[in-house]
Amino acid sequence: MGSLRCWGIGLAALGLAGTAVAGPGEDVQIHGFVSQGFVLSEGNNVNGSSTDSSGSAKYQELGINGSWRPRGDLMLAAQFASVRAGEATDEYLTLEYGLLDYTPWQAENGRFGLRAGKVKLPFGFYNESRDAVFTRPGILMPQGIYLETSGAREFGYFSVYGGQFYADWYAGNHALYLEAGAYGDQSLGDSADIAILRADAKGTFRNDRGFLVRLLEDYDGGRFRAALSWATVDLSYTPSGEPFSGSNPFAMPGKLDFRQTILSFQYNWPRLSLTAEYTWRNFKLDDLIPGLSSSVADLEPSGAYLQATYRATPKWSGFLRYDEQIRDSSDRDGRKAEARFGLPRYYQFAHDWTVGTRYDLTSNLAAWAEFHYVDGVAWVNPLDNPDFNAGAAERYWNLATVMIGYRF
Amino acid sequence: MNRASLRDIHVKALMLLMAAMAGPAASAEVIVNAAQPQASISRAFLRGMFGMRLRAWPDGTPVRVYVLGDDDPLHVEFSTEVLQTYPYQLRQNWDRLVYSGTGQPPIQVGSAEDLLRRVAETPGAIGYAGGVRPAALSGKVKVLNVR
Repeated sequence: MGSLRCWGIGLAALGLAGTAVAGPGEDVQIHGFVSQGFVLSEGNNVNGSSTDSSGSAKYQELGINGSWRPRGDLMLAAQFASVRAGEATDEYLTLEYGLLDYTPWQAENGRFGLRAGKVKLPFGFYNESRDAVFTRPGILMPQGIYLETSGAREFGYFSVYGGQFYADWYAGNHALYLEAGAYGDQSLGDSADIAILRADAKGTFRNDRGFLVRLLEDYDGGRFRAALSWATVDLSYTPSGEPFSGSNPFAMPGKLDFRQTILSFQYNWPRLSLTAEYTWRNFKLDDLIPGLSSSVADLEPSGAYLQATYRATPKWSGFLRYDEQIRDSSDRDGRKAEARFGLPRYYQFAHDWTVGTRYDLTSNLAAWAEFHYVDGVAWVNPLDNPDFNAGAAERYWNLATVMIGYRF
Repeated sequence: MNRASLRDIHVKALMLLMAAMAGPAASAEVIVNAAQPQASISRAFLRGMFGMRLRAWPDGTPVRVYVLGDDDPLHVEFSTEVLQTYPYQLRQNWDRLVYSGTGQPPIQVGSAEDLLRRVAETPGAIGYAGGVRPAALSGKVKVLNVR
């Protein structure tokens, strides 16, 4: 049913693409993307029941956006997306962004401006456009940096309501881009508890306030790129009102602070690109679970990846990536968590070796394929793996995924 | 003269002929609509415009950027020689703007002639050209020096 729905919207979007291509105004533009993925895995499920012999095709992304630039200093833009990623994400149609962008100053040596509305979160090299597979470094994002299969979309990791200030500065071979955003009170979706607690809490989370800054340097037309991203988010939890029990351990109101810093580096040659990103995060859970000491309740997750992409021809590229996600950097091998909570220690990390390829059939149509070999299950989603919290996830596992995408 | 050196001469002659038929290597130049007052442009400004970040000229006229397809030889030459970046990086940058709501991509046209005509007809337009230009458009586009 889900796939029928998604393809229905897909066909509608392709129809629209025809009209957009036939007569694009230069100030009004319509663009979009549709992609269908397929996952086959051994050991653990990703994006649906991928360990079934028939694999999972519950991996669909579709977006359509419009932008209008009535003057050189003003732009209105909005994108709607429909995303299905296994059991964790099933968005029929949501506003991914909808914003007004005003640039009061732009000159030979820079610009500054403001965006307000629902905005994408700019952090790392890839977060703000990750809905479109064409902008990603592969089919699956490097999970060490770009949380995905743990309900991160609902955690407000993708886009939020707020305001953003941006400034560019150009001098010689340097281009420095600053983006700073502040985000106000808003609810998080139903899966936020999975992202935060790895469990289905009965209450609700709200994002009280958030603040995010990214400083990005493009040196020599992007030959070398480096970025520093920093974010802080204050969340609050309101319990459902049901009394405390084994099935409802989160019965008290509480607060949770989340902080994240990301360092990003990239070097580009005509054919080869090397990309590395490193993040460390801090979850202060001690006000959420009364009675737990902060040494247990405060997590310091970290993540990193290194990717080499080689473009053999303009249409054909391949990549090799090592990606790791560590749920607590003071417990890299998971032994402390194993002693405290009884779950296998490999629940606390994931080391993922990926080899992948992309082929652009035309400028609008492309196909991807990649193979992952993973040690650990830190980013395996409990919603796709019902026995996960009973300790039944497989430590060593692998997955193959293919995707075809169209954009306009 | 032995047979091998004779063959060498034939090969060299053929190469020269092919080079002559291909014409002089098209050298990509920045062109703008003739109504723009400036005579030169800095590479940083040019990168800002083709990166679709700077959207207005100093006098406030909206910038309209015209390009050819990613693998068109003139586009490749303009990207690497004039902007001193790679076509794949321009494309990644434009895709990021389009799918994050922070910008619009340039207008892509099908041929160098079309690009020239669009720049000639559109106030605030910027693009690139290589080789010979039709005399009819001589007063409507102008070449900018890159500082």
